[in-house]
Amino acid sequence: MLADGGCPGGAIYLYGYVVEMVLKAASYRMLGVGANDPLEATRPIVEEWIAEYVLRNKKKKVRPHDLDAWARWLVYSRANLHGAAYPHPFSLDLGSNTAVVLQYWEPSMRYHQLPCSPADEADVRAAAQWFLNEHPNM
Amino acid sequence: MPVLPNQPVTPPAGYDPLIATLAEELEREGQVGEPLIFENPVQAQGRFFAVVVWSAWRAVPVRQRAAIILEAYRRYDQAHPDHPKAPQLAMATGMTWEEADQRGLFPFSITPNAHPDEVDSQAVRDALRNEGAIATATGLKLRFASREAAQQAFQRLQERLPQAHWSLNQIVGTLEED
Repeated sequence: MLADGGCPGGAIYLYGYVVEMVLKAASYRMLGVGANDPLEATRPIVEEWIAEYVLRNKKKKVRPHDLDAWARWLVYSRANLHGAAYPHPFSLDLGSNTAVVLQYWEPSMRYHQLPCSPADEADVRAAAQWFLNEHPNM
Repeated sequence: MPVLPNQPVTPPAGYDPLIATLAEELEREGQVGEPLIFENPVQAQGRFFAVVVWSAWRAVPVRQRAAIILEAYRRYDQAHPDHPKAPQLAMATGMTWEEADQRGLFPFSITPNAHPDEVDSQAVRDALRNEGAIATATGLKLRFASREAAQQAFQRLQERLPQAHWSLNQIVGTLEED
């Protein structure tokens, strides 16, 4: 609706959160966390693991909404915790679609004029759609 | 268990020179200049994340970059059939320097702040290169992932060429980020 209403930047702003939710839901699901389970206890542990194994710095704090770190965590945890790494093309697509979203999206978009074009919106929408489609496979 | 089809990642057409250059760069381990290639292990099964920071990505859509990196690794593997890397590539990210700064890949940087008539510009370039600065399309960049490495380089530069008025900078994100 936002895109059709001439607000491609607003649409991109929401797509980013769609991707964030898919990435985090898949990550927690891989750890056995159910859809209605509380996250208060698990979240700090997962963020410590992301800092240590993905950002490669135990002292580093995971930045809020760091889609790239969560995408890499998903690949990492799938290989190391689940025991079955994603197929090669899948993990590459995961990275590429995350990169497409990150090219345009950041949470602070809400504070700015959004100079995004309909073409940008289409690009990010395709990436967000990939996440929605592939969520069951993550 | 979902079934994930193992489809080949097709290298994009028209980027052959870029692929060839990157494949050559994969051989130049430890040497200076662009692109800067990071291979961070995923641990299990020898897989790794590759991040390629390169000015050349400016002309390449983000969606195409992973396939270009993968194809460069495949070409590298042709010369190293005993130790192929492409099958171990878990995720490939191509970033320009501006994108790397935006994403906080190198939170620490050192820059000279002297006026051109205060210091010999060639001496500044030599000092930067000596510390590992990368020649990019937008000039020499001296970037660090860790504070310790940046502080050590800063000390050396201060001793070697104090008239360059070096500054050590850290990207701390925006105040609006939440």
